[in-house]
Amino acid sequence: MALLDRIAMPWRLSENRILGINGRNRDYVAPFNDRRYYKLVDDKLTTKALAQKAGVSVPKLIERVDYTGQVKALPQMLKGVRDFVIKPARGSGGGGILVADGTDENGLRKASGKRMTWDEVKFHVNNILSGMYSLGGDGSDIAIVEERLYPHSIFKTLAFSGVPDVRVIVFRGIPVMAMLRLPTSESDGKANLHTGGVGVGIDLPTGVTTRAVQHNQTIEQHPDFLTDLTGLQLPEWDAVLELATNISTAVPLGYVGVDIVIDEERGPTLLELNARPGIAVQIANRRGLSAPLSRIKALDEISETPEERINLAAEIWVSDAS
Amino acid sequence: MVRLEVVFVVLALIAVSLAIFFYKVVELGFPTEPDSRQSEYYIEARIRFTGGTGPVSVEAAMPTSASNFVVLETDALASGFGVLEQDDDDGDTMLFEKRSAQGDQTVFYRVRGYRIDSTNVSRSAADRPVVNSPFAPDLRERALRSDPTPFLLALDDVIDLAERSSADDSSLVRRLALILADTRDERVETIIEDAGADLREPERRLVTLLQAADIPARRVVGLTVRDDARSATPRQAVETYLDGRWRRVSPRTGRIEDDDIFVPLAYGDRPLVTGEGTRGDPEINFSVRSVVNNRLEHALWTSSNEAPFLSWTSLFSLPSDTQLVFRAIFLVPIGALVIAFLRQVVGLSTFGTFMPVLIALSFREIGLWNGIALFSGLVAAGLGLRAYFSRLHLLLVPRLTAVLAIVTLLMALIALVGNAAQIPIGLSISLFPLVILTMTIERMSIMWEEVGAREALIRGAGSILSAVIAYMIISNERIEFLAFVFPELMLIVVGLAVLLGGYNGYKLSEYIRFNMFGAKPGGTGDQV
Repeated sequence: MALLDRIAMPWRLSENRILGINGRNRDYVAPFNDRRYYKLVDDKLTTKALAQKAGVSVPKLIERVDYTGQVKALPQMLKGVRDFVIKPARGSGGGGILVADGTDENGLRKASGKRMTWDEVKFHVNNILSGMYSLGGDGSDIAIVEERLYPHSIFKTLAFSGVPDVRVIVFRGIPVMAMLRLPTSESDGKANLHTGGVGVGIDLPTGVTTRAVQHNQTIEQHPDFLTDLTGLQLPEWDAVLELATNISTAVPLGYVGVDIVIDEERGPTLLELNARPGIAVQIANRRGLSAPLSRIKALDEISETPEERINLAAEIWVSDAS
Repeated sequence: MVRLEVVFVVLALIAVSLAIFFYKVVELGFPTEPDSRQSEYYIEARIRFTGGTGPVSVEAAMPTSASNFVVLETDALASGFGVLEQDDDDGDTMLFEKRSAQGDQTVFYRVRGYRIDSTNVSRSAADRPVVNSPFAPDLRERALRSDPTPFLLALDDVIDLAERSSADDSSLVRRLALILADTRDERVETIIEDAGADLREPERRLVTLLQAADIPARRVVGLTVRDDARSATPRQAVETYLDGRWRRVSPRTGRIEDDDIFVPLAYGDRPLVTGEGTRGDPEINFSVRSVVNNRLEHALWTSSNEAPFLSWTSLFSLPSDTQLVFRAIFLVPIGALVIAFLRQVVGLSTFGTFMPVLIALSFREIGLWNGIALFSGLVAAGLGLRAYFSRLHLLLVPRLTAVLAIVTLLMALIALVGNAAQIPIGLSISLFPLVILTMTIERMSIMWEEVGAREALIRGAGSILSAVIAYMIISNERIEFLAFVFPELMLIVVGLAVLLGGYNGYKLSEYIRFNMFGAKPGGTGDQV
């Protein structure tokens, strides 16, 4: 029976209104996300500009490196800059991100306390420029240096070394489901679920965590800190939802994943957008996406005001639970 | 509705495809499997002679259609010679003529024909042939009365004995053959010794006696066609007219023995080759080889008359080396369909779509296990190299170039080793496109660094697994045959691909991924 336990009975998935990858692509991504707008969310510089126009908080851009020729000027560029992040503009899956405390003449001090020589930093930035960490895996990219975010203090005992974020799935401007992603020692400070990060389901109207999963298994406590993961009230939750719905109406994409960091000082800040958000959020929440999505898909008209959209989101969430 | 449209497109594609397919199979007789029982053969003759000073003319016997062999076409290869096909009652011949052909000459002709099931031949009785024998019953009777030679007496005695102890023609043939086969019988001895013609050979003896008994019979020289015989020696046989058609009988037992495929070259006493103006007798040698595509060629030949458009669009009108290329190319979409299914419905992760197909194609050339070993070896070597170059702090594109160059060298090395060990892997290496292999190595190593070895190995294993599954399908001889002979079936592949594209159901892998939904809702850890 052990094997059977590892496989969901076929009818179970549709009974729970689970959205599969094929269903997501065919029913939501293909009809609602025009491919030519992908570049708006794939490129963090464009996303930043869009967000600023929509009045959404984003990490401040410090520098950008467009060409290999600029790389040798890095020590000069970053002189005296403290608490910054170097990342590829079109990075995927959190690859190629370097978090630093500050610099000196020898090199850079990483947030983890390790040091990197300037040669190593230049090599890393060159790799970013050659497109190694970018979508498509070829061509070229731009390296951006931006202000480092500090996760809210509530995450001190919830996130191991990296930055935890909240992923909100938004469809037609209405938040549908959300989860908190926590880095672990196993995930090497990254908040990706498939590398061993923890996904935490969130009660959408209130922002209280409901349950947590790691490696597809329900867990009660953070594997590194042994802190409880359920029943926590996330800070500034209303602002998180407001940010998610605001940014999603500012991009011409119907179905997006909005990644938000709750910063200690800035409050909810947009990290990035995703035009093809994964479906793991269903595992963290133990709820299917199909029911709320098909309900929103059937709506003729959707309110302009964020408040009404958030209210509608809460209403759908509650009625779906019953 | 998009969904309805998809269904309509799929049905239309499949309907068109099947319509053409069935037309070709039912109306034009295209075979649906590579190995049809009806086999086709080439019979080739090489005639050598030495020309004299004057004009030369050489006449060679040619295969003629028989009860279970149909001659389709003939062509000759004889530069400078005038070539003329002739036919008469003693069989077809080919005449080679030249005003002057001094020295050693070689000419060829080739006949293409196919084997048929002799039971299919209608027994529409041609008229019983008239027997012309110097010893026919009435002539014999008269001769016996005027001049009873020992030969005539013995002959008459044997026929009389055989006729008395037989009920019909076929038993008469058997009786006669049995008596004549016994050369110790003094009557048979007399017949052999006193005959004007050479009756030492049992075939000639039986034919002469059968004719004397007023049963149509003839000696025939021909070739036995077997699948595995390259060179063929003509042999003689006896044919008698029984039950309204010519049957071959054993000269020793008189039993009908014509199950094998025997292609007649010359009847009666006609020699296989004669020459005028040659020095010495010309020499003739035969070879027989089977053509793999038997019924197919025949169907193509039929379709060129009945459906010119189809035969024009047939891939067989391409040069044969191009045909070979298409045989492989036509498997690519089928392989891609398999991969699409594995990715969309099963949920295997692979590196790209085409890479597994190309790996599968190369497996086809090199064999499954060799292929897996070669692929894994090259990727492993590439990953090791890449790790090293990465430590040297090289940039992405130059690093890819370096990996590519070394992988190229490795492939050359493997080809050389394989050549020395007599394993032909040159062709399969060309099917491992370098760029794809290198990109795989690069992508796999990036994945290795970013997401961990586990995910990278899962993708790599998924690629090989799907290549193996695709290989199993495209290595099927029948599928290859159908794809090439019926290009219209590709529309079904298109239809199925469209259908797969419209699939929004769960992948099989998602039943595992979402296994926690298998538990009853409201179970442990489900309260809010």
